[in-house]
Amino acid sequence: MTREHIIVCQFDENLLGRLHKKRLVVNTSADANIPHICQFVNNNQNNLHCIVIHQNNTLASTPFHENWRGIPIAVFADQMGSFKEIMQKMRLIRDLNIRIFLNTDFKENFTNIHILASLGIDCGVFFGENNLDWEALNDLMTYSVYSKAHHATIEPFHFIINNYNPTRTTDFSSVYFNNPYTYLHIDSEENIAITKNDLIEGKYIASGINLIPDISENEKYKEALHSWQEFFLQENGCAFCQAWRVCMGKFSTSIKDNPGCSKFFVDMMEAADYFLSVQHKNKRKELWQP
Amino acid sequence: MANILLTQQCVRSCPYCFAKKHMADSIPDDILTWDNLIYIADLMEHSNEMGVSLLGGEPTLHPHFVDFVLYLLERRFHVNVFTSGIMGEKMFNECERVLGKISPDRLSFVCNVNNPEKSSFSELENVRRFLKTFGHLSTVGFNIYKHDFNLDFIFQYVNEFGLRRHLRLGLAHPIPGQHNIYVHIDKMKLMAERLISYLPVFERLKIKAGFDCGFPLCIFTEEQIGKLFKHNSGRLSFGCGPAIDIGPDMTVWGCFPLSNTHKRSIYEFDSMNDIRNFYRDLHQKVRTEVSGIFGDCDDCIYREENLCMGGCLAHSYNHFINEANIRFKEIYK
Repeated sequence: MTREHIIVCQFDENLLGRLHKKRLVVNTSADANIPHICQFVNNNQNNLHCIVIHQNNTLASTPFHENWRGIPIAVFADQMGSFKEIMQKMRLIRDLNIRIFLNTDFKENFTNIHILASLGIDCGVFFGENNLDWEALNDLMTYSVYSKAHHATIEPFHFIINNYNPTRTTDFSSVYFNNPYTYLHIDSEENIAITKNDLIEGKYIASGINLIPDISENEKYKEALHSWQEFFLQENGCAFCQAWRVCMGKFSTSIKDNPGCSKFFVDMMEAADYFLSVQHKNKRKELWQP
Repeated sequence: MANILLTQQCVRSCPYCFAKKHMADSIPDDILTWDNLIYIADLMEHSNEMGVSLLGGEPTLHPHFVDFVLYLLERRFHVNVFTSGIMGEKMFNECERVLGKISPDRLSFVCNVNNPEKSSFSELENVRRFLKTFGHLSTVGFNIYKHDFNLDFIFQYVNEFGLRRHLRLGLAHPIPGQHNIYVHIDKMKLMAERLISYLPVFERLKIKAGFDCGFPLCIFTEEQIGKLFKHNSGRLSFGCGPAIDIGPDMTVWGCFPLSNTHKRSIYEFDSMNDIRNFYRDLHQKVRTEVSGIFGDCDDCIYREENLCMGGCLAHSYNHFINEANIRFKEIYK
């Protein structure tokens, strides 16, 4: 089956001019002209899936603007910055079609995400390079899934519980635009990669926009789709973990220095099971219709 | 309205302080965390209680005080802050810049003041600076801890700084088993007389005096009650009910003088109502054992009809200090 991929690329007018009838995720910086990007993408017969703003400064210094309304946006920032500055923009942020991601390398971000979600801002964590505080992540997940208080969604927990199927794997890479079933990454030279990191590191699977429609026939692409099977060839590898179906070995390289992933993902699965049972319980009877 | 303690530290050491025992037993560096604040806010919202009081110690000593206020306002809580008005330059400037323009419908302060004659110069300067800036958001609170108190300086504050024309009168209460200064039972009628002597000034200046908890009805004569009734447009309260306090360590208790008895974890309860009902039941048990602060409380029809609660429960607890454990067992937990 041919799959229509969403293409992830930098905002490069030249490259975008060569892409037609594609759904696009456009990476850009905080000082970019967001409405212009949106307009440019749509004028080229492409569909904007999302604009990803990589904020090198704090979240508070992001120039949120009224003219961002309606544009799907994800902001990735290392730190939140001044709470007071965020509060001044709170009403606007809440009205935007936006999801905010903060870096797990900064311990205070677990609390910051807790604050933002409780104020109705959809948000999430993105995993940094340092050892992850699994306990803090678990607390945040518990709040996200179990808290009866009104709050916005927190990724990747929200994705997992909404896509969880006890009989299948649930790959939350999509939250970070890295799931090869859905996303392909491409640079200005039309090099195609499975993930953003692969693209940066030059691990391309193909080169050329014209190859995208038939990418499912590409051997390297097929390999990437089945790369998870490698875990079954390792003795006591991640595939033998109770939480494999949700984690799928994403933390295999750090597990030695920073164990705790298994416990977290087991709890995550329990939460997903719980959510599923609640949904099942609340499911309304569907009466036959004449 | 629940009281959230942001910190256990205070900038003053008032002789009557009925939070003294609680403060002394607490870890001074213990401050409320963001995660705990969110938990409390969630619990209150879930309980449909959208008013919250922030106190301490001195709440402005909390490093995130302003952020906490902004957060709670953003969640549509009405925020009331109990403060001494004494704070450092940096915190004051931050409060002025961020909180100064917030509508009185959403934010209010109760500035607890002491007699200037008993206060240091720098303390007074701080209080005056606070009232000058936040007068429009502030009500003055005064704790009576001796029968011959003086309110003249409060009238001066209200006029000079354009404060809300309301005085919140608290009564210092005993801490069971401890030594603090409070108005002794046999001096309460004198205290009531003193208070009534100020009524003409209250009326002339159009300032209303409202009672905090623990004032017994019978310390006032029939004539004095009549005057108070007219002064407060019929709104008189001689109650003593659980005022739920939540500590930075997420313990809860039924009011400050009773903070060393029956502390519970907030996580034991599902709603604010659960907490309130727990302490209401407990207080009821104490009142079954000791009706009120006076011997006559046992047969008082006003107490039976809940017009008066028989004064502060802390006095009743004092009865249990030097006796064998012969009361309801729940009282001793």
